[in-house]
Amino acid sequence: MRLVRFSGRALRRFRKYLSFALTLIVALLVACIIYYQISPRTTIPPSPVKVSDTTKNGRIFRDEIWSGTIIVTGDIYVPEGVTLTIEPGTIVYMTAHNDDQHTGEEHVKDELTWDPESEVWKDLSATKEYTQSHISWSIEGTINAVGTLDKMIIFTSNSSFPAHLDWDHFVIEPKGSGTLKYCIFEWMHAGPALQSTDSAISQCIVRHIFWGGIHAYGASPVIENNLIEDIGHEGIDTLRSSAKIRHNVIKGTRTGGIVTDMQVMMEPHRPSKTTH
Amino acid sequence: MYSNAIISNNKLIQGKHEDDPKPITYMGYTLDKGSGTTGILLMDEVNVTIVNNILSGGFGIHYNNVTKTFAIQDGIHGAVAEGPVHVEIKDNIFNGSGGINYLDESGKRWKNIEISGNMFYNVSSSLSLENAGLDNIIVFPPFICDFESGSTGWILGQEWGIEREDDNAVLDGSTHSWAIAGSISWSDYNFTTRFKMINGTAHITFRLSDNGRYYLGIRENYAYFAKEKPLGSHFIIEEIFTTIESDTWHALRLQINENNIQIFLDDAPLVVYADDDPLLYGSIGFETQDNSHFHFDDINVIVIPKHT
Repeated sequence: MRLVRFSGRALRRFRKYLSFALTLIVALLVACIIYYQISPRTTIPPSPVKVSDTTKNGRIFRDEIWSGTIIVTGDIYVPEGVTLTIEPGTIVYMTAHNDDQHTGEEHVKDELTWDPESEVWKDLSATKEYTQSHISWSIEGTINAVGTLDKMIIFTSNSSFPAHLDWDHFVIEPKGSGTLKYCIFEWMHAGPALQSTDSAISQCIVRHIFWGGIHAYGASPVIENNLIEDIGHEGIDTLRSSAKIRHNVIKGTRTGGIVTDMQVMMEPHRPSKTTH
Repeated sequence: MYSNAIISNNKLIQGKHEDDPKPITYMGYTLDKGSGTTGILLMDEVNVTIVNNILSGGFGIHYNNVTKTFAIQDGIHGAVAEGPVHVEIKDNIFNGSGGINYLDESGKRWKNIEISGNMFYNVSSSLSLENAGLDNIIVFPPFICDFESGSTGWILGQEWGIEREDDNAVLDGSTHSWAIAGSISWSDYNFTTRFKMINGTAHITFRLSDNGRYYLGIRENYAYFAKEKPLGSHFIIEEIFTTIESDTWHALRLQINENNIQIFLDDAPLVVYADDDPLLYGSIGFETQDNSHFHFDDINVIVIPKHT
């Protein structure tokens, strides 16, 4: 077997070239990194996409501005870093009893809907089957839905005969933010839930709601100047919240106007048969 | 962590039962009409300021330590909340609602609840005025009834009803039966009425509550002033022989102010009494005895506003 042999000079030359090439590559990499870090951005962030008179569902990938008539066919998710703006006069129709995203978890159950005799929950709107077949909104980014007195933004059902449970819920999550002003929320399971301190709802009408009207859980949102009526449970439901609740008119609620800290009711547990 | 909510300048309208929303039904489960709801419901360890709200109808403000209640009941929950951290209920108007209820499960008042500067207008129940706090005003509208438009505001026993005497509607009662009106929260008031004895004995009752009552017994040419406290224990305080004629309308006026009671029959003083152990609150009523028959008309109660 014959081995290829390099002379000592050739080997030294090869090493020299190799060392030079590696140094050049590293220098280029460092230059690129420095350039990327310190140079002014030459790329312009994409401007918000204008969306009008169309259908929407699922994740919103970049900033959008909605106007006109929007038909929502499935759960809407606004992720962190994305801003959804809805212009005055926009009507957002949720398809009733339908959700093409099929997402959602079981709602926390109200103990009062537990039937100890048959050992079943009577309220079927708290089940996974319901949430996965009804539209809900989850805002982890930002939503700005600011209408005007004569051009309110309407979140409603697309049914010709709307009912209290046509769509599910609308949540500004703890990491999200948003302003809801001059909006109407109606025909849904639970009214707007503000779980972010950086959120506010004002001058809105919240009506025809199966569960509570406006919710504030674990945050300190501002809830003011709203009209809340025809509500299945409380008009405003707060839990571990330092909400500012002022100048609201609440009427036509089945279990109360404002409730603070129904902690037990919110705990997802199954009561014993002897309870109640 | 507990709530630090501020609830101010809201208008909370809790309708009467007939005004409540229609029932909602979903897959066999019905959210029924409310049977009276709470304006503001406070739970567990809250630190809440409630100022300048108007609460109409329903139960007003209610504090309830649900965590504790549930823990006691089902043993599921480990944490037992200790009651309110601080609740301030100030400068609100309660209009026909149930006032404020902050009793614990043993009937004691929860601590750390301050109540002041509120106006309770026509609050009919659930408010213990002795515990209402400081600087509140309790106002009731005049209670006026001539029975021309029915018996609104009255709870009538079986043998009571409205009859007509010529063109005049009157309240007619017979046998041992009751007619009751007003609020157990009424304290000081001027109460006037007219009565006509057809036969037998009737008790004109005031400051009627679960704690007892005062009453003036009337029969032909005889009256007696009595106190029932506790219920079932009757004490005749004074007996008066006076002119009470059958089939004749007589005018009765009662002035009840703290522990002082004055009764006038046909504008003449009948009873002047200061009670060392007074009953301080209660509604009005008429009680006819067996084999008795009376007419009453023109009831007028002016409740004197009360400052706590």
